[in-house]
This record gives sequence, structure tokens and C-alpha cells, in this order.
Amino acid sequence: MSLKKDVKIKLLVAFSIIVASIYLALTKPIKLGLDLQGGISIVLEVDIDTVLENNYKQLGKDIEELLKDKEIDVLDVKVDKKRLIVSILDNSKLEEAKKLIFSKFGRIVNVETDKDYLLISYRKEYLENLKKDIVNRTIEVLRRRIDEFGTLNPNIAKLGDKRIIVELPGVVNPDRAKAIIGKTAQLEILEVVDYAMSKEELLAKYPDGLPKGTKIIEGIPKKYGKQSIKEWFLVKDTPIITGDDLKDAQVRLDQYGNPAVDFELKSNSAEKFGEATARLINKRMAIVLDNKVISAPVVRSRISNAGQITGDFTSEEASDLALVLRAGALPAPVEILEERLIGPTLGKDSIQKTINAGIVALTLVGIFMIFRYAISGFISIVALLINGLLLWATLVAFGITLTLPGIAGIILNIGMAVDANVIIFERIREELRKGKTLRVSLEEGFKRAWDAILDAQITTLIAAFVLFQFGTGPLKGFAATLSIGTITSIFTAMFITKLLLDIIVGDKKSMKYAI
Amino acid sequence: MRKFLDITPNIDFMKLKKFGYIFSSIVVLLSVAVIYFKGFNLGLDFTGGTAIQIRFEKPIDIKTLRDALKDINLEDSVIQEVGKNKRDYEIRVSLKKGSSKEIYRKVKTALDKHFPNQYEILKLDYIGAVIGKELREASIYSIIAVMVAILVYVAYRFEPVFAIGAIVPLFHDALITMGIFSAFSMEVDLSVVAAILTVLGYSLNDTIIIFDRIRENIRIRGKKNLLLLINQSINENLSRTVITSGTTLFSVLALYLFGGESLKNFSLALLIGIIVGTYSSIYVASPIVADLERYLRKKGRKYSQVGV
Repeated sequence: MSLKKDVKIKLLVAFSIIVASIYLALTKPIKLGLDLQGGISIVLEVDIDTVLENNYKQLGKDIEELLKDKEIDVLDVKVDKKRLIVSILDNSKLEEAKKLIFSKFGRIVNVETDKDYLLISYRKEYLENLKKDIVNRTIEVLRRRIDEFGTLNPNIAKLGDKRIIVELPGVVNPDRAKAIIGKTAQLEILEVVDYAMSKEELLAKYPDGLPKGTKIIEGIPKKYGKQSIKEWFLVKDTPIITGDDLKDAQVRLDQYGNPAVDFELKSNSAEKFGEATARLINKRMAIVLDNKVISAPVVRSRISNAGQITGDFTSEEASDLALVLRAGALPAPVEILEERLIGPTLGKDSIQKTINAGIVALTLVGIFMIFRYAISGFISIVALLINGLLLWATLVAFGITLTLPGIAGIILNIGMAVDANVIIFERIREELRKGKTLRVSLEEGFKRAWDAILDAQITTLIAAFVLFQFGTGPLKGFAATLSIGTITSIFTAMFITKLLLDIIVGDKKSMKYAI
Repeated sequence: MRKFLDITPNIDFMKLKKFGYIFSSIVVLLSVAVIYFKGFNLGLDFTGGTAIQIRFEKPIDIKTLRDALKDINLEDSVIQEVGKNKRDYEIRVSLKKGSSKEIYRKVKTALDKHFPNQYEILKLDYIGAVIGKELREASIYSIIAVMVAILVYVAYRFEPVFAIGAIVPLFHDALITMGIFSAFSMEVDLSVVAAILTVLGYSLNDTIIIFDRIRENIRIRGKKNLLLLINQSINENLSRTVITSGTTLFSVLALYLFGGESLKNFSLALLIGIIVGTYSSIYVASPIVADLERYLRKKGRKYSQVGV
């Protein structure tokens, strides 16, 4: 059988594409979604507002100091998460104060005067940068924590502007995963001024309001035998040391043999800590984690470079705490918005079942196509298999994750991809019925079917693209396989099917069981 | 089968269109009424909450499981059997009952007590209130977005009359599919919305293929006897419409029957949508084009060139 030159070229093109696809499919493994391989996926939202409020508080202090230096007395500084409202004693100095603030903080804030107040708010660029910075730093810290935890192939990515998705494949205990990911781990050691068994009791001791520069923090309940006791603490505002001062943290046993966390301080922090503990001998200091006092030991002697955190820890909790302290605190608290855990069994189950469904679909479609279109039907099934190969190779080449809905998309594609062939074959039959030769009908059929195929597939693509935009993880996989499969099926129907038919039919005017 | 519909049939679809209109209107109205009065059995994606799927070593009764959950005051949760082997169950707890951490711990404690080492946690989903609300909104927007995009595309490729003829059946298909889900209290989750979007894209395929033929026939024969021409186009294309939908139905049916529980809702929505979509391209889309054309011509508007 001698082939025409253009058919030979096309054959070469098709052959190269297929070989390249097979090579890709065999050499690169496909990325499996968590729903197939098992694992946990957590969506977090970074609480920017809390950070903003803290930043405003600090800014308020700085401004108060700045104005005091220039002998402008500040009456009051009000903070909310959107702005600072500053009032001063002598309103005639309002303009001067505004200028002062502007000259020092003008890069990051806008200052306005409103009657007797100064309204100070961060600039938009500053806020944008702050948000970006916090989210990026959060991702960094999370990555350090997860690396230390030792999960293989974690995926940590930004989702929108203040959300983060963390995906941990494999067998994961959801409690521990959340302890490591969700804990801000803001460690502070504070001087205890006073303490009581309830908040009311503590407040009652200070009828004229709390002393300046102090605040109340609740302790975590501790078990003494069968009883559970919870203390409340009045502590100094400014921490002696924070998590930033730590050099290292490790799990050890305390004097009673319970798990505890030993920490070591950086050298300049050690000095600070030494001074403070010398001053606080026989007094208590509060070890505060994420705004809860986890223990409040009495200082027995000067401590400088190391210390121990005790609490009712299990050994897992202690080692997780040591881990998050080593990896550093999150720059902002995070809230868990969504959590999905898939056990390894379910994933395996799903793969097996969908593969079965795929085989059934392929068999049904194959039998039907061969029965109705004979040789052409057989060719369309070859084209369908090549389509599957191209789809797979594309997924692998672009590193697209295959999910369970993604496999469903591939199976759906088995039924949809032959549509193009059906449209073409029916058209060819129609032309044959008009009395045209096989060769002519073939050409006409492919030519006339093109518009219909294109229009029909584009509408499927529209739906798939929208789905890709809105869908969450696994469903994105469906949108991906559906759209890629639709595109490759246009190619296989118009190019591969045509090529194979050209080779088999050649110039023949008619052929039994051709179509 | 090999010769099925090989000779162009001559069914008078335009005569049947009155039946089509009435039937479709009734079903759509019923669907809207059911959706309005009964609402949907919304999945976790939309309601928020915690769902835990468990597999037991040996088959157990749903009552045994419910009793086990009494200790932790979760016996009034939604407990569903997954599949039919009495081994897989899903416990669903609303957001009010606490965070996923608490629920997970409680359920684990209760199960460890009643079924020590006889169960495995297959899956845990927690959806917060924020996400639930966002997904509800996103679902509605995405359905609208697909319809608008399709409307624009069809109007661009064909002409406005066809665009209307294409979009009305989409509403029809989406509403009836949702109506069936509502009527039988089948769970609507994100995957069902995805299936509806897919159906919108796919059910248009049939419509487009018929439109394409109408366009071609108009090019050859002109628009003189549009009704007859549309009818002939539908007949000429009948084998295509039936076969393309048929092969896709094979796939979806295989998915529904053998694809496992996780894909049940999804493949069911596809199944319903594709069947309704095939019907609507014949009985809704084309008649609308014919009647709109006639109506516009009567009003004397000039829509003289259909097609390119």
C-alpha cells in the first residue's frame, strides 16, 4: 500500500505526538489529589484585623511619645481596627501635632483633623504590603513547622489574598495537624502582679481600676487529683521575653517525670531574662502561650539562658509545642475555615471503583461504535484511546493534580469524545446516501462536521472554565480533565480519525463495512 | 441497530411542539414549586458543619451506632448509611455542636468505647460558616456566568433568535434537574452544582448541532418555509442527537452504577441533566427558534438573514 506524501507527513506527526505522550506518561508519575492518596487539607484565614489593631496600639504609643517630646499633651488615644483617634489638651496645637506626626509617619499614615481630633489611618499601600507580608510570613512559618514535623510532599499555598491552603498527604492525625498548623504559638513570659481563683475576685481587689500597664489573663485549667483548678492572673503588659528570644526548644521530662519543654535563650535575651528573674525571686512569673497562662512558676533563683515550660502535657503535646516554638510564632492568629481529611482506604476504594466504571464505559461505547460504524467505529475507539493517552500526558506534563472528580471527568470524556466522531460519521453516511463515493463522502463529512463540532465543544469548554474558576480543589480536577479531554478530542477526531481512515480507505470509491 | 435511523425519519416535531411546550411548562412549574416549597437537602459544602465517615469491620445496625453516640449527646445527628453493606456510615453534625476538633474527639471516644479496634475513620470534613456561605453564593454566580457566556457565544456565532432558543432550554434543564433533586430530597452538594454546570455546557451540544444544521439548510434553501426546514433539520439530525447523547449516557451510567458512593450524587445529576437536555434540544430549543422567527416576522421586524 503506497501512501500519499501528505498522509506520510501526517502519519509522522501523529506518530511523534503519540511516542512523546507515551514517554511522558511512562517517565513522569501523575500527581494524585488528597482525595485519592489520603491526607488532610486545611484552609486557614489569616486574622489581619488583630495585627492591625496591635499595630495601631503601638503606633498610638509612639505618637503619644512623639507629641510629649514636643510638649503637646495627649488627652486620649482611641484605637479601633480602622484608625487611631487622638485628642490633645490644647486644641490650638492641633495643626502643629498633625505636622509632627506627618513628618515622622507620613510614609505609612494619613493624618486628618476632625474638629478636636486627629484621625490617623494607615495608607492603602502600607495596608496592602502589610497584608501580603503577613500572609507570606505565615506561609514561611507554616512551612518550617511542617518540615520539622516531617510530612512528605506538603503543599502550602496562598488562596486568594488572605487565605492559605495546607495539604498534608499520607496518614495524619487531624488533632496534631491542627495543633501544629493552627497554633499561633505566641510565647510570652510576663511578670505576675497578682492572682486569684476567678476574674471577679481579681477585679474586686482593684475597685479603682487596674494599675497602669497591667492586664488580666486567664490560666488553663490544671488537674489536681480529681479537681480542676483555674487561676486568673494580673500581669505586667510588657513581656520580659517573647518567643522571638528563643534559640531552641526541646522536649524533656520535668522533675516529676512529666513531659515538659526546655528552652534556651539567645545571648542578649539571656541577660534581660537574668536581670528580671533576679528581681523576681520568690515571686511568680507567667508563661503565656497565645494569651493563656500555661504555667506560673515561682522564681527560686536567677535564671539566665535557659528555662522550662511545664503543664499538663502529653508527650505528643509537649513535642508539638517544642516544634512550634522552634519554628517560630505565626505573625497573626489564623482561623480554620475548612478541613477535609481522607483516610487512605477511601482513596484506594475510590480509585478501584472509578477504574471499574471506566472499563465498563469504554466497553459499552466501544461495542456500540464498532457495531454501528464497523471499521470506522474501530478507528474511533483507537482515536479514543489515543485521546486518553494525550489527556494523561497533558496532565503529567503540566503537573495537574488528578482527583476523584478528575477521573470522573476522564470517564465522562469517553462518552463525550466519541461525539465528534459520531457527528462526522453520521455526516459521511448522509453523503453516501446521496450517492457520493466513499472518498468524496469522507472529505465532505469531515469538512461539514467541523462547524458543528467546534460550536458544540466550545460550549462544554465554557462550562468547564467557569467551573475551574469557582470549584474547590477536587472539582478543579474535574474541570481540568473535562476541558483538556474536550480539546484533545477535537484533535483526535479531526486529525487521528481522519488520518487512519485516509490510510485504510485510500482512493477507494466504496468499501464493505467502511462505515 | 446498525441501520437505526439510517433513513432520515419524517416525524412532525413541529406538530408535536404544542405537546412539548405544555409538558415542559408543567414540569418546569412543578420543579419551581417543589424547589420553592420544599427547598433542597443541602450538603455539608453549603450548610457548614462536620461530617465523619466511618467503616466498621463487621456490619452493624444504624440503631447500634446511634445508641453509641448517646454518651456524647450526638444521637440526634444525621446518621446515614453509605453504600449498602451496613459497614460504612456518615455522621453529620451541625456547626452549633462545636468545632471539628471537639466532634472528632467525642466521636472517637464514643467509638473506642463501643467498638474498640473495630472501625476506621474514612473521611472527615469540616466546613466553616464563612466557606458554606461563600460556596452557596459562588454556585449561583457560576450558573449565571455559564448561562451568560453561552448566550453571548451563541448570539455571536448564530444570531439573537438562536441565542434565546439556546438559553431557554438551559433554564429548563437546570430547573428540572434541581427540581428532581428537591422532590426526592437528594443531597445537593458542590459536585451536583458542578454536574449542573457540565449539563448546561453539554446539553447545548445537541441544540447547537441542530442549529448548525438549520443554519446550513437556510443557507441552501432560504428561509421561506422555516417551520418545515427546522422540522427537516431535526429529523436529519435525529440519529446524531440520539447517538451522541447515548454514548455519553453509557459513560455516566457506568459512573453511576460502578463509580462508588463518592460520585453518586454527581453522576446522578449528570444522568438526569443529559436526558432532560436531549429532550429539550428537540422539543424546546428548535420550536422556540421557529416561533420566535414567526412572531418577529409578523411584527414586521427585519430579521431577514439567519445565519452567517
